[in-house]
Amino acid sequence: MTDERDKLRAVAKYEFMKHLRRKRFYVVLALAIAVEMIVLIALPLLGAGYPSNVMTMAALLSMGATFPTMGAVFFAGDAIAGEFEGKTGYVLFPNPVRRSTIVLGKYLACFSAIALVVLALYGVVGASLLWIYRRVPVEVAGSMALCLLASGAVVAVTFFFSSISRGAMGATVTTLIFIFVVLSVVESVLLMAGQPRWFLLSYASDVVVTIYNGYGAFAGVREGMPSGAMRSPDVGTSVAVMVAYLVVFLALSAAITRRREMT
Amino acid sequence: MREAIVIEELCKYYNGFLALDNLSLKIAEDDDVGLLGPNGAGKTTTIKILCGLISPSSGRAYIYGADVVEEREKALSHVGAIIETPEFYPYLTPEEVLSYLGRLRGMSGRTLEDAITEALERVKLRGWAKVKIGKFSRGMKQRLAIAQALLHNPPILILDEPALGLDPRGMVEVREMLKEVRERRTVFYASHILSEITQVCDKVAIINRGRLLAYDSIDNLRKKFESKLKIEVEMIRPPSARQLRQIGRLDDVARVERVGNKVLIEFEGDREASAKLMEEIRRMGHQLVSFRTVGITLEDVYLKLVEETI
Repeated sequence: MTDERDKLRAVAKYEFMKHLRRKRFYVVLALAIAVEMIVLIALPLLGAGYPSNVMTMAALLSMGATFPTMGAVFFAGDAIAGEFEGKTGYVLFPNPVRRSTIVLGKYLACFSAIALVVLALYGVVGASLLWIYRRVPVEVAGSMALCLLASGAVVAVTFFFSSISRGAMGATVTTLIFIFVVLSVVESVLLMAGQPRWFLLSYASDVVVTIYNGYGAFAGVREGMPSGAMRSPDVGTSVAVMVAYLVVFLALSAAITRRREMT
Repeated sequence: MREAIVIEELCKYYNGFLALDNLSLKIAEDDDVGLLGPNGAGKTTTIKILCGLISPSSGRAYIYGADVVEEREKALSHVGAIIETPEFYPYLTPEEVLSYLGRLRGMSGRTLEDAITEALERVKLRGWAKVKIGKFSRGMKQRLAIAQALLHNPPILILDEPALGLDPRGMVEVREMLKEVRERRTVFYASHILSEITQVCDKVAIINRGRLLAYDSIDNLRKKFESKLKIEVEMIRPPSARQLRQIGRLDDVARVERVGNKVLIEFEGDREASAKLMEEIRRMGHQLVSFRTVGITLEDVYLKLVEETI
């Protein structure tokens, strides 16, 4: 077991190194910071000024911090599929290491890379709030933790699609469609039908923003919305849902990769 | 002698297509065995099963007694492998890749550092140790593939077309490296290039359509298939068709064929009869540059066996 733990550490270390050397890491980081800058610069520039309520501003900035969740898809899309598509698996897989260890190590590396982006962004959020309001609400830390969990769940879902896809591009596009189109459409349908949507990852991950003050942080969004639209996700339930997505999809990915043949 | 690799009645179907058909093979420790066959014969499928990349549809394979499916990690701990033309992560350096793979093989600390240095020196990549692999040529990547296969000093080397895609110089370099490292190792070498097999291996297993056609030492296979002696005669001037027919009518000559300035004679006589044949050809007025007997080649055996199964 110790031996397998050492191997897990090795996979995580070198896969993490790979992420840090890829351009996409810096592109995602730069885009994420740019999103925060837009919020910080556009509000005073358009004459709106910063909101008087620190929680509203924190929620606005934290919306930008959900950007890494999308970045997670780009980081993880090729994690498994790339080994088969790019033939690097011919070097990696014929080693005395369990494939589940490889999957878990790659997951940890990918999550660590995305966590760096999340931490950097919340650094921007915290510094901005401190600069504008002279205080940082404790909810920012909660939002960051939830953002990390949401990213972890998205990485797990991406790993699942990566383990069943022939190519990295296919895995990335399929995951993006699943999370940002399919789940959103299902969520809208359930909302219109007045049905519960707590079990959807897209809804559960809204908790990253709603933790501050529910959807009420954003004045004006109520008009024209169906009843129930303003019902913000419960933190406890959302955490459970995100953990469930993370565990189930990661386990599925490991099981599929273990059986997948390198033909 | 202990058996390093045992393959028992392996079958593999790809969507209904039978790639391996009850293949059985035993490779003793320290044997260097070539797996020879045309494209699509089942060589890579066999190698991939041994390396745990695919599962057999039926049958079993063992490496030092460990089942490659049920005890995959144990079986692979004895193996260094090169499969097809492997790729490496372009963002890492050879040193980092070898360090990564070494750790997956249970190596660490000074032992790993020394092994990396030795492996890189062996494949002449020491000077490139800290350069990202993305800048490497095909030949350099193949040398790195050899380095990773040798890193943990495995008792078994499993190689699938290790010189594939290389230029002639690269092919020679790879072959020379493999000749050097095969000492005290079991080598299982799949290729369709006969010259590679004959230079690196002592034994050969010939397969086609997933079936084993022959398995023996190269010498034994030659002897088994050698019914007629072949004599190659080089002349100053090539013989005319009439002169060729005259040679064909000489004693013990079974068949005669002209290849450029040379004449290839299938001969049924003994050594004395062959000396007499040389005299007869001279007497016919031909000026001989050389007269030599050529045994049946592995290529002849291979072509004969493969043709029979088509």
